[in-house]
Amino acid sequence: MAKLALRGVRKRYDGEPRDAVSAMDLEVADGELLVLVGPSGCGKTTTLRIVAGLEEPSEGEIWIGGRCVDGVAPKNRDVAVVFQNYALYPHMSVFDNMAFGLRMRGTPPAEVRARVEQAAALLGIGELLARRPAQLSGGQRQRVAMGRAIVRQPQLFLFDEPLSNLDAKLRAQMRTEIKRLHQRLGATTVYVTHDQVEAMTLATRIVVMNAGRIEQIGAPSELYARPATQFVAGFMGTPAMNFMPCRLAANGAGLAVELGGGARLAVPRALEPAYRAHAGRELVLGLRPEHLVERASGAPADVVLALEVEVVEPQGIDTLALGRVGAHEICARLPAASAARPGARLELAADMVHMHLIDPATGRVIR
Amino acid sequence: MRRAALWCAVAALVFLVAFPFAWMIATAFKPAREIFVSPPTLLPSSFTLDNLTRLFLETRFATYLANSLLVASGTVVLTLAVAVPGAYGLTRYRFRFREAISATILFTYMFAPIMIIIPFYVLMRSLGLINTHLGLVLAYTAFCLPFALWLLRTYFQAIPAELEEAALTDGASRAQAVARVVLPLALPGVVATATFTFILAWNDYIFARVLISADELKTLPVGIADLYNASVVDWGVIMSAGMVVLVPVLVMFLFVQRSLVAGWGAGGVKG
Repeated sequence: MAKLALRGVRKRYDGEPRDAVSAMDLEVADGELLVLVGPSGCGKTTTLRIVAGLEEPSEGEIWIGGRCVDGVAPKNRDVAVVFQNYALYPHMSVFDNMAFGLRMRGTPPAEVRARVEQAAALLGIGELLARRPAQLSGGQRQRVAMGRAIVRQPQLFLFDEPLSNLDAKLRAQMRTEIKRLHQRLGATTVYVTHDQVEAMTLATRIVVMNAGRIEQIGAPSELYARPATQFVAGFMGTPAMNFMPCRLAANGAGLAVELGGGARLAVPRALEPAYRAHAGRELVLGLRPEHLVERASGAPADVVLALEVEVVEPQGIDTLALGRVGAHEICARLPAASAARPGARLELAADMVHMHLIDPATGRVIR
Repeated sequence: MRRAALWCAVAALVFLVAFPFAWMIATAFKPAREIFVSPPTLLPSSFTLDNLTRLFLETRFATYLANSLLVASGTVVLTLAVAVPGAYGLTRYRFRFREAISATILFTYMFAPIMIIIPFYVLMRSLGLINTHLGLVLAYTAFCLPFALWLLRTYFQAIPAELEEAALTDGASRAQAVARVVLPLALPGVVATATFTFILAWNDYIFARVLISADELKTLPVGIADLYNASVVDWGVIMSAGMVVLVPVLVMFLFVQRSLVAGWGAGGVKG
């Protein structure tokens, strides 16, 4: 049974012309770490606040642990929220911050002490318990905020962009720690972020949101390999997927994608059945940068693109080449040892097995 | 050189501010015949407690003092009881005309007391509150509220809503979240408001003069002013009265200044 369920949740703020969240249907299984990801303003934080009870939905129901929590005050929902700006009580010590929720529930002092110390040990903040939040570094504050959530052992953890105030290195470190913590505690968690890397690395399942709606729900690898819409395809992955307007042409036995300027890419046989019905239409071709490789001598000539290299960005582990194919801006992920130079012309072979064709009318990826 | 100039300026300022008080205190301890001697003595040449004794034994000063303490404390309690929830509501709840209401509240503060004293008198008379301390407390509260609301509002606005939301999801009710998280953080604001209110009620002359006529109900400013009306103006007694009036205010400042200045410092939220 789902630990958390959203049924037809819609939210419109007073005086706003459109819904902040609409038609949200979502089930989160026990022990799952579900990540809500999307650009700012997509409704992910609003969704989280509705689950926490900090906002009332205009429509729809929230179920937590098999109980409908309509009109239930936040304190009675048995959820813990970790806020983006930590929201530690500045006038209390770390210990009191973490003990607050337990004390509110009338936990006996001895048990409060034991549980706070246990959580503090788990997070490596045992020696900070006497300090005030102002005396802590950003990473330490983040730990305390997580500690405050953990101590209570709630049914549901809600994280609202918890790492976005940290610098890049600390963020990566805390990300790993959150994942480790989740693996250890197995607590059902909903995690909101705008960072698709965070989503990919942490999630058991990802919900991609856009303009208040769910674009796609799936495991990280599934969203990456088989995005349902152009939005998801473009949002997941850095650098982003390349999109090129094209025409799907039938030539005799096979299909080919025509990019204009004479460039043609053959569609693999295996994909033809799915695309056959769209032959002759103007579509959008999607190809990830890692699916464009430097053409080896003797490779087939029917999947070749000529890239006018403009910028080369060495990443250490590999090198990005950015430039133009005809009128389109393209990025290719090349080996670190690549000889690509700005101003040069580079022959790229497209790995068309990983191609996506998008219907520009609906924005949906054709399957 | 610049340092010397600065010291001169400071000394002049201190002299300007402190001299009347020094003179008042010195006079309070002078015997009657020394008060008008020429040339005047800066310090009492013969120190006496006679003025203070007469102040408490021969006038109703002690009654006025008790009345003032009662009225000023009552005003502080009532003002905070109304202004704290009011200011909280103005910052935390969204409702129609919220900004308009806030602006109107500030606007009412622009009226000088003298402009509203007659309507106030009429109102209090029809309520039967003339010559009562309750009437006076209500009048001061009405007069202090706009400023108190605005002052507290800025303090509440500075407290991030997330702190309260954290408390709410942590298991606190709204009232508990306010009591345990919001008010401790707004304490300097609450103290500032209390101080302001107390001093206004403590020093007020005009409301007390108009709303109170019974001698046993008068507060200090009116009571002391009436000492002048005696056939012989007893400067020694008046000066010692002025001195005693200062004491509660000074004590309150000493007691309160730490929390006024301190605050809690940042660090609870992103910093």
